[in-house]
Amino acid sequence: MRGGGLTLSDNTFILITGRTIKQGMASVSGKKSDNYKKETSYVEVSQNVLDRLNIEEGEAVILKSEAGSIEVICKAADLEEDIVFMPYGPTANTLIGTDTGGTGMPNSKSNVVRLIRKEAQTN
Amino acid sequence: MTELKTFKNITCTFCGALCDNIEVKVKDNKIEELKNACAISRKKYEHALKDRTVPMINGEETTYQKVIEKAAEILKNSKNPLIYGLSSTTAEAQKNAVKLAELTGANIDSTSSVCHGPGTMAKQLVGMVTATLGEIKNRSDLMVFWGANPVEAHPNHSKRYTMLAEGLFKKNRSDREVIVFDVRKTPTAKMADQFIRVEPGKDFELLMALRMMINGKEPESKNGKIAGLDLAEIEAAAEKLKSANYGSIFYGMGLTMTGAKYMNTWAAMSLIRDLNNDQQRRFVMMPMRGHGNVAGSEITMAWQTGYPFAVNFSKAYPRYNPGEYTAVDLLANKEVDAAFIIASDPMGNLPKKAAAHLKDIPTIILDPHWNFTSDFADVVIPSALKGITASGTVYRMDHVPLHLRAFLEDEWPNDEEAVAEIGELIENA
Repeated sequence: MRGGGLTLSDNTFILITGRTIKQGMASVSGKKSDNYKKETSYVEVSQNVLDRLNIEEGEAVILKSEAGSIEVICKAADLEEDIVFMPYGPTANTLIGTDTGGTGMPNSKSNVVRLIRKEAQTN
Repeated sequence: MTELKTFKNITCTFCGALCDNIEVKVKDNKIEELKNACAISRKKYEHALKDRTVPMINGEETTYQKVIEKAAEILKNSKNPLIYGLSSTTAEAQKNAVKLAELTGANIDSTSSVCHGPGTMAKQLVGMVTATLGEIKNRSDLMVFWGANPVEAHPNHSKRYTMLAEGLFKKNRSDREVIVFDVRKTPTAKMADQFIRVEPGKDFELLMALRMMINGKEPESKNGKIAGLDLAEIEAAAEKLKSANYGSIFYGMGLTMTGAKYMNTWAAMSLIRDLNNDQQRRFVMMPMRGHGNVAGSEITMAWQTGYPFAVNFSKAYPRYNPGEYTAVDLLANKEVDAAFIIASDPMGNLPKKAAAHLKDIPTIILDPHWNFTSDFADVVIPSALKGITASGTVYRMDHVPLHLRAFLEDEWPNDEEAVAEIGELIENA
C-alpha cells in the first residue's frame, strides 16, 4: 500500500522535509536573501508521478495540507512514488501542522499533502 | 595595516560535528584565507561579518543598553514567558538562560524539541549505549545511518569520523561496511554498500522485526512484508548486524520526525541492547545532532534543572513535560505572553501556525544576524559571533566539550553577558 498504512489517493503524498547542502549553505549566507528563498521553495517529485499527473518539471504546483497551502516549483527526483521532498524552511513549514502528539515534535516527515497543478487550481 | 595572522584548530560551530581543525588567516579583522572548512562552513565564515543586527526597539535603532533594559522590562512584566533557541550559543549563555528562566518563572526550551528531543525522551526510557566519535572511527566495522543524511547536513562527518576517516584500526572505506536505512536515496545512501528503502512511517515496525530476528524469533506478516521489505531481506540485514564486531548506528530526523516519534528511537536503542547481549559483539549509537551546540543545550539544561528541554519554572522549581512546555505547543496553544529567542529563528524553523503567535506577543531576539524572527521582533539585541568573535564552550554530538576561541574583534558583547545583564536588571529591580 502506498504511504505506510496511510490512505493516499493518486495526488496525495507524504511530505518529507529535510536538509540539502544548498539549503544549508544558503541558511548561513543570509536568511533574507533571494538565494535562501530559492533553495527552500521547491518540491521534489518522482518523474513517474510528474508523468502521471501531466506536470512538467519546473512547472508551478500547489501543495495543500491541513495546515496550509503553498505554490512552489517542482523538480523531478529519484524518489519513490509515495513521497515528495522539500528542503527545510519557512515555505515547507507553512504545510506543517502544530500537533506534536505530546512530544513537542511536529510531523515534519509524516504530513500528508495534496499536489495540484497550478493550472487545475485556477480553472 | 596589520600582518597576516594564522589561527589553527579553530572550531566551526555550524553543526554538531564541530570540526575543530579549521585554519584561518586574518588581516585587519577580516578572514583572508580558510582551510579545512566544508561547503557550508565556508559560507558561514564568509558571511560572518555581514548582515549584522543592531540594537532596535519597535523598528527604531537605539543603544545596546536600552535594548537590554527593554528586554528586562518585558520579561519582568510577563506572567508566562518563553525562553527558546539556545542550540547555537555557548554553554555559558545556556547556563545564564536557565538562571533567567528561574528568575522570571519562564518556560525554557531549546530547538532540540523539534530535532532530537524525541530521541532524548527515548534515552530516558531505555538508555543509550554510545561512544566517542574517535572510538567509532578507530574500531567500527559496520556503520549504519538510519534516517540521517550527513553528506548534506554534516558534510565533513564522514571524512573525520566515519566512512572515509583514517582510524587507528579501521583505516579506510574498505575496512567498513556501510548500510543506510531511509525513505529516499540520499547522497549518503549513494555512498553506502547497501541502501535499504523503508516504507514511510514504518521504521518502528522494521526495528521491532530486526529485534525479533536477532532474538531468534520469526515476525509474522500477512503479505510476507514488513515496512515494504520481504522478510528475507530483513533477515539478511539482521544477519549483517549480528556478524559485526563493533557496530555503530547514527540516527537522524528520519526516526524522530515521523509518526511514532520517540518510540522509533526507543526501538532503535532497544535493538542496540539486544545486539549487545552477545559478549562477542559491541554496538553503539548516536544522534546526528544538527546545530553546533544543541547537544550542549540538553547537557546544560540537564545539569542545571535535571531535565534536557521543555522545562517550566512557573512554580519556582523545574517541571518537565514535552508536549506541554515545548515551544511548538506553548506557541500553538497561545499560552505564553512574551518570548526571548536566543540564537535561533523560530519564524523560519517552526510550523508557521505556531510561530505566528510570536507576532502577537512582545518578542525579544538575541542574534548576531538578521533572520525571519528579527524582522518583526519588538526588541533586537545584537551579539558577538560564537567561535569567531566570542569564546565559550560547546558540546560535540558525542558530548565531548570543546572550547571556542575568538580570533576577530567585535563591537557587541557575547550572549553570555547579554543574558546575564538582563537577569541582573530583573534581580536588582
